[in-house]
Amino acid sequence: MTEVKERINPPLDAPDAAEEQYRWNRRYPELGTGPITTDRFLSEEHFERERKLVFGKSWLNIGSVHDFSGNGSFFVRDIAVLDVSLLVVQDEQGTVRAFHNVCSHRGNKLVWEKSGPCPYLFACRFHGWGYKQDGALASVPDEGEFHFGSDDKNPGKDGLGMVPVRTEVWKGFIFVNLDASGTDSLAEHLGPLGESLKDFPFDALELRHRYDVSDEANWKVILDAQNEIYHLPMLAPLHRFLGGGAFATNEDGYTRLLDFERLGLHTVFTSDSDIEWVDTPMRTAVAKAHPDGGLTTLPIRGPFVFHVLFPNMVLGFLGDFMFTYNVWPESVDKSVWEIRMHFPRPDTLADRVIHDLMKVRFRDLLCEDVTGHAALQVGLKSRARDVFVVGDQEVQIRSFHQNLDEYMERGNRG
Amino acid sequence: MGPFLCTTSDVPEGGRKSVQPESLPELVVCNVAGTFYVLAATCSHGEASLAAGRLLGCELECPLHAGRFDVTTGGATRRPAKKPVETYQCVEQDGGLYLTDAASSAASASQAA
Ligand code: FES
Ligand code: FES
Ligand SMILES: [Fe+2]
Repeated sequence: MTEVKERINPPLDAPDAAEEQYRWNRRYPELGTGPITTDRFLSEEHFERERKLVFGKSWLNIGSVHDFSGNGSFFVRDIAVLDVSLLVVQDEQGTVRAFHNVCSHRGNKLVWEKSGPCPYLFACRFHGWGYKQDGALASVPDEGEFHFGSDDKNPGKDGLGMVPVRTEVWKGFIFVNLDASGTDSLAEHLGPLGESLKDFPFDALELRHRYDVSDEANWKVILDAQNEIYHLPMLAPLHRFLGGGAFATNEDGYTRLLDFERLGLHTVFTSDSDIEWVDTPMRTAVAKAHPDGGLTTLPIRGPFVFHVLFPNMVLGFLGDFMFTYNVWPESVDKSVWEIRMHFPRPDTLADRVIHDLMKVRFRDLLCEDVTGHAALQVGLKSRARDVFVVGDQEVQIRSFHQNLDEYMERGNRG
Repeated sequence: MGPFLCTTSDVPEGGRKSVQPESLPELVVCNVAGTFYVLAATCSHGEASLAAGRLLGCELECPLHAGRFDVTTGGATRRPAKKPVETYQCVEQDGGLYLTDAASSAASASQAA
C-alpha cells in the first residue's frame, strides 16, 4: 500500500498574491466578466440539450470499486436523466464491465436488486433467460421454440448478450459513456486533471460513509453552490464556525482562493486554513486524549482542495479525508446529491473516533447547504432577474458554465 | 470630562443604545450587568450599526451578518467579523454618562482619520 505522509506540493503562488484584485480574471481573461443567465437553470429546452449533449455524450462517474463487495459482485445504477438502468459487474478476475440492465428477450429490467454477489447466472424474472458475468447469453428456457438466426437482423444466441456500455476505471472510480459511437477515451476526457492526480494514493482510502440527498434544485445550482467559498463566512453558523479550519479569510473577513486552475474541462481550487482558528472543545479534547490519532496526512496542496470533474462529479479533500459528490439531475428542478466520504484506513480506535467526528461535522455543514440550494432554486424560478452576477472569487462558476456551453456546442456540431 | 453620551437610565442592564455626540462617530453604549461600555458603532466588517444588533452577555452582535464583538475589549469574537472596533472609556456622574477626556480626543482623532 502507498505510504501516506506529508503534503508534497507547496502552494503554487505566494500567499500575498491572493490580495491582488481581479486576480483570476487576469489569469483567465477568456472567462470574461459578464453575468450568467437565469434561464439555463430553468428552461426545459436547456435541460434537454444538457441531457442529450452532455449526459448522453460525456464520461460519467457512476461509483467506485468500493461499491462492489469484492470480485464476482455487482451493483445496479439507474441514471434517471438518461432513462437507463445499468448493471455494473466486477468479474472473478476483477475486470469491471457495465451493461444495459435489460433482458434481450422482451426488454424486461434484468436485475432488480441494488447490489450483491453475482448469482450463478443473471436470470431474468420474466421468462428466465440467463446471462454470464461477461454479458453473454448462456441459457434460454425452451430454447428450441425460438427462431434464432445468425445476423444483425435476426441474431443468434451470440448476438443476444446484454448490451455493453463503454466502461473505464480510473483510480478505482468507475466511469461509463452512453454514447456508443463516441471514441474519446476516459484518459482523454480527464486530460490534465487525471495527470495532476496520477500519483495520488487513492488506494490508501476506503469508502466509509454515503448520503444520497434529494435536492429541490437544478443540478447546476447545487454544483455552483458548492463550487465557491465566498459563502463560507456568511451562510450559517456551522459554515462560519467549523469552516475556519480550512478557509483562510483576509483581514476584512472575506475568503480568498489560494489557487484556481482550469484543467481542460475540469477545474481545481484550493484554500488555506485560518491561522487564528480554534477547534471545538470536543475535537481538542479528543486530540489531547489521543495524541497519535488522526495523524495521517494526505499529500494535498492545502487543507481544502476541490476538483470539479466535468460534468457532474466533485473530488475534494478536506483535511485528511476525501469526499466525492455526484450531482444527478432528475428533472430541471430536482436532483440527487450523492455524497461519499473516504478515510484512510484507521490504525487505532482514536483514528476511528476522529474520523467519525469529522464525518458528523461535514454532514452537518452540508445540511446547511441543502437548505441553501432549495432557496436558490426558488429565487431563480421567480424569474425576477434574467441574469445574475458572479465575482472574481467565484471564478470557478464562470469556468464551469463556459465549459458546459462549449461542450454542448461541440456536441451539436457532431 | 468629555462629551455627554446619555443618562444611565436610558440603557438598562442588558441594553444598548446608539449615541451621536457632536463631531464624533456614532457610538454604542452597552450595559453589561451594571457596567457601561462604549464602542464605535460601525461594524468593522461592513456597513452596519452595531447599535441595531443584539447584546448577548458581553457580546454585541452585528445585525447584518451576525459577526460578534466583545464589548469589554472591542475584539471580534465571531466571523465574518475579524477586525476589532474601537472602545472608549466613559465615566458616570450624577446619573449621566460621559466620555473621558482622553477617550473623546481619541475618538475625534479616529473620526478625522
Ligand atoms: S448573496 Fe449571493 S446569492 Fe445572495
Ligand atoms: S457588517 Fe457586521 S458582520 Fe458583516
Ligand atoms: Fe457550503
